[in-house]
Amino acid sequence: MKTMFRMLPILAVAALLAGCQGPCQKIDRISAPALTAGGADFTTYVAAGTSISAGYQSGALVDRHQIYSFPAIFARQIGKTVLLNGQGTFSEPTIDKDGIGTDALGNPVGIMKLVALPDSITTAFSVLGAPNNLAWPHPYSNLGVPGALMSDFAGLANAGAGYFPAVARGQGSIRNLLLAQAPTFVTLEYGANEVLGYATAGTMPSVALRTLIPAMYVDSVKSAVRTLHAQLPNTKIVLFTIPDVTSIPFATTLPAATVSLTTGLAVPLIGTGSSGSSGPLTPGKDLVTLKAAYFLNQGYGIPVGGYNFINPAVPGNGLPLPNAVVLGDDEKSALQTMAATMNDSLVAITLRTPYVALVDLHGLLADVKANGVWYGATHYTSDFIAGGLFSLDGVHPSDMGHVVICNALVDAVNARFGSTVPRANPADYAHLTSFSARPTGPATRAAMLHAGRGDLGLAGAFPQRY
Amino acid sequence: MRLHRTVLAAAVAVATLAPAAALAAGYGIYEQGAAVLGMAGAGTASVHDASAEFYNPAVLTRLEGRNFQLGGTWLSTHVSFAGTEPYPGYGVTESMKTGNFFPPTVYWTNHFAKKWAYGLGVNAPFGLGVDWENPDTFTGRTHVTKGLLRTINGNFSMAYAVRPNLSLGLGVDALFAGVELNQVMISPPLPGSSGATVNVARAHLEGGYASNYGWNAGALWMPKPDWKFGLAYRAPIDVDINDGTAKFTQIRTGNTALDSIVALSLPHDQGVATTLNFPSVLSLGAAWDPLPGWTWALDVTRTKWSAFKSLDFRFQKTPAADTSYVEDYEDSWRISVGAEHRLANSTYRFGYYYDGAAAPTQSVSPLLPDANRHGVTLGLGWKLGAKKAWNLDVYNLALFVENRSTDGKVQRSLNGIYKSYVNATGASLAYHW
Repeated sequence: MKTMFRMLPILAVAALLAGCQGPCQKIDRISAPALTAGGADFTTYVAAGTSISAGYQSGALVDRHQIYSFPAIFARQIGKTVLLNGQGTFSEPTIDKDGIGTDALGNPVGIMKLVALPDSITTAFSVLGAPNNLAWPHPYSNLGVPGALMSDFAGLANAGAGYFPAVARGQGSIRNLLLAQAPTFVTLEYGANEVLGYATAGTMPSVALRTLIPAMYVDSVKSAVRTLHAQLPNTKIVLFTIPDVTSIPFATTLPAATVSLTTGLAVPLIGTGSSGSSGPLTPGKDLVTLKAAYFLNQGYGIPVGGYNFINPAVPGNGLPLPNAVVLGDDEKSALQTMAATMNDSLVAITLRTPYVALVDLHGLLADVKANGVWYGATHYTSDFIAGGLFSLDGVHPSDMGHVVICNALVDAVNARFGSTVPRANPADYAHLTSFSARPTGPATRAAMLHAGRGDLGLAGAFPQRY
Repeated sequence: MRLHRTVLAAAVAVATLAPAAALAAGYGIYEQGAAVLGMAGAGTASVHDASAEFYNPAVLTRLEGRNFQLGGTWLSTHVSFAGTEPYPGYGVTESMKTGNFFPPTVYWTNHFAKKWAYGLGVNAPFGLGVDWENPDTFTGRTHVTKGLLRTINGNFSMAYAVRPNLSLGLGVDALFAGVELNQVMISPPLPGSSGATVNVARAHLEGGYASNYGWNAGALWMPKPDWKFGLAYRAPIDVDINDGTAKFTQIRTGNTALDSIVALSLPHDQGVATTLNFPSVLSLGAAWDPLPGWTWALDVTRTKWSAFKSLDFRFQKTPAADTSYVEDYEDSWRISVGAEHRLANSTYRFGYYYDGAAAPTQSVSPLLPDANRHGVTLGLGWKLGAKKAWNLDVYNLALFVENRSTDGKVQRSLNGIYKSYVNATGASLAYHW
């Protein structure tokens, strides 16, 4: 018995270990590696570019997506504040309510909304918004302008057109507004409109333009980089390659063929090529853009006796789809060649310019199209509507798509300049955006159809130059 | 719209759960005798009670008379997780509910004929329990929210004293195993959304007890009175669970269109089959009595976890949903050192063991957060009763598990650092006559 009591201290130690403190406690959270600027300086960040930089999504520019543009996400990663009213330390020309977009006729409409599954997209339930940060006393940090060309960076030719008044407010060229802020870090995302603008219009530039456009683009890029560096020798600049037309769902969602209702075999759709002549398309080479849905809905493009997959109740009328909604193989190749020339020049500029980094947007979107992006157990893809990475217009990335672009930007900047900018966490940006309630009654649905928008309603909401 | 996942199941025990002597990584439990555990499980040569039935059947010839032993352990497990990139991201922390498990042991040993002995034993050589808090928001919920692996092993062994200082043993095992796995299924990105997903169903898989046979063997050699060397081997066993059930329960989201699509595409309740791989274990032990009343022991154990290559689920009605988790476990090593000091009426014991992880980095998961372990044990024993026929042994094992990082290598599941701690307190009560 005595030995038993002598052993009690040992038992007590054992019991203490059993009711442990330190080892039993929950693990501490792990913080992201601290932001360090390395060779870059993130004090003042200004973004210039197209609708992608602006955060244009689902056919409109609206504040609730402008705050999730990749420059805005990147700004948060480098410690800036981005507010819905556009008045954070990374300021933006925000537009309220359901934003401002344009329909095919150029009328202003709000953002597209997905109304009823499986595929009813309309702007009929959107409330047109207005810029609500026009009185901001400085140039905006985000100078992305939907529809901008590289030549619009320094030029004033389009100062009164489209979204320029909302962003530049007549105060000068985008370049001068950028320089006025003396930024230490700049992103220049241009080139998409030079190439993809033709894709969305379904047209092909002339032979001369196919050489001239890339040359003008490269010239404008070099001039911009030179001017910026001369005035701001310590500023770092990031350029972006131009995505391939086949990596966006706009060009790859609708098939170029359907099935025959009699034989069950595949039959190609009928379309008008770049030369003006019509005939069957070549599936696998010719592409049909989302804008074709408007015409398919009425039976155009579907051979007689073919299955109308957009609107099965309407039989195919055998008439061709207009050239504007067909991206023929020759048109596609011409645009791909132009983009390749432009991208090669961007790579060359970056290689010889130590203060320039390059984000390979072209490679990124091609990889995403092929493999998607896994986040935990969820697979995000470039699929239209259901993929999660592209918005309802099939061209512009969704908020989540912007996270993917931002993280590519983060990686490029960290690799080039030795900084440690933390990547954005997709979980912070995966949310519901474009849903709205079902139409309230049959009258509204009839009005929707009457407007000629059909079930997809896309043609009505997609502008020529975004 | 198709759902990503169709349920999977099958248990694989959590490495952290196995306290006791020769706890290998993975899902081994070598909590099989309080006296041996007091010495950090270095029992292959040193064991001298009825738990030899498990640790080294050859030792049965050295036990006097009849022995009956009942034992149990209270295992309590604490596991938590901190996230890094890419998923679930920095700043996320998760915890498992504190687990409490009670693997039992029962042993009976006796002699027959001049040099023969035999033993019967029932114990739980493998096991796992995983139960994450807040299952509906747990970031690893598509992998597992709650999982269980239970085993019961029945063993019959015989031993023969070839010479007074050399014994051999051989036994047969009947291993019964049962599993349960629970998961939450999430939708793909909701159409028109920017990546939002919602919980749409719960999956519950259950199977067992199924069984299979195995064998074990041992040898004990005493070249000198104060030196013993032991060898013990346990053969691998694969248990096929063919009649498991998979149940899917929809979680209504309130979005009627989504709910109807989920209702259409959710797999029906159906049968599911899987195979559980239980690895072979080879132990070499040495025991030395340097001073009167003292024994020092050393054991080296290799567990052939490379037998665990993947975790497969085969569905009866929807074979398209069949899933295979690649695990590619690696053989692991454990080394234990322990000491025992026998006094007049009591004994005290202490020991340390190191047990290497079996899971490669990319297989570390919320179901199997395997890691290297360091065990520290303390034990006490008393002879009780008028004739000292009763033996009571108690021990405590503090199992310090190294933090295990996924190093960003895990695909499609949690990346971050797992922290675990296990404590085991146990006792054995034996009667010999």
